Amino acid sequence: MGVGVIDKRTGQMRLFTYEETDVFCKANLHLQAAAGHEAAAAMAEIPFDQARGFVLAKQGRDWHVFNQSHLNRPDAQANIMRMDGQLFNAIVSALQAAGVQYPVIH
Amino acid sequence: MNAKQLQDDFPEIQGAIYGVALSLESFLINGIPYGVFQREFLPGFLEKTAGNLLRVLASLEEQAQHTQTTNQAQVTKVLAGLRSSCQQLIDLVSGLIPFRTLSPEQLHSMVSQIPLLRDACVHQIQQLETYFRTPKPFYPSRPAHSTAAVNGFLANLEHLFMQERSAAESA
Repeated sequence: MGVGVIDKRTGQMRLFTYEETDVFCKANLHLQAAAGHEAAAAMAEIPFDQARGFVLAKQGRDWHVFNQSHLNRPDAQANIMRMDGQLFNAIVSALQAAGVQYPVIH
Repeated sequence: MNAKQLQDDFPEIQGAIYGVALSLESFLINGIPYGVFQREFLPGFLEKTAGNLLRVLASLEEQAQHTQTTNQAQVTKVLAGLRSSCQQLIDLVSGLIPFRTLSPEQLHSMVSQIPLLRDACVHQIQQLETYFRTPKPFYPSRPAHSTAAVNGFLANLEHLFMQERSAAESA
């Protein structure tokens, strides 16, 4: 599972494996960041209120991209785990440019 | 900060307690959305987060045996309660894997228990912090944004399950 975060201030995106975030969380307990998007935001040095999260999964040849994170709540979408649609579209475009072909959007 | 200072400020038992508190959060905020809602695409993820929680809990139990406390009997009792609450939570969330086929009443009944069981775990973790007199209890010192994000997630859990179910029906 790929854990992705974007810095709303700069548009910079970072991707980690879930395992990397878990290792970071356990090695930096004093930061009190849970594995997943919280740890990913801390690893990327993005303040939590400026971080939005998504998930990337590969199944066979297909890439699945999920607009889903508990950090997305401030965007106040009908589904609180979704970030603003425009921002998510920009993420998907950037992923495609980076080689994620024909992503399946969730 | 030197190693001695870090150990004084952040004793091993506190680290073990933080590990459990963070794995509990991770089981809920990651295990439910990606391990239950998106299970089709991320098989085994819920089990991974549950396994992490049980592993850090075992580490805490081990660490507690070697840490001085004024009330070892109470610590043993609270640890047993915490293990039981965590296991109940894991069983409950695992029981929600077929949530798309559950009736709204079943879904409501099961999902409404999740915050209650989580509260029980939190209470037991806080009791342990009191018995071990850890210098920086986890929950009051957790970043406010993280606390708000987790609380918001838990407060909307039933709604999230219903939204996921509706999305699957309309797909």
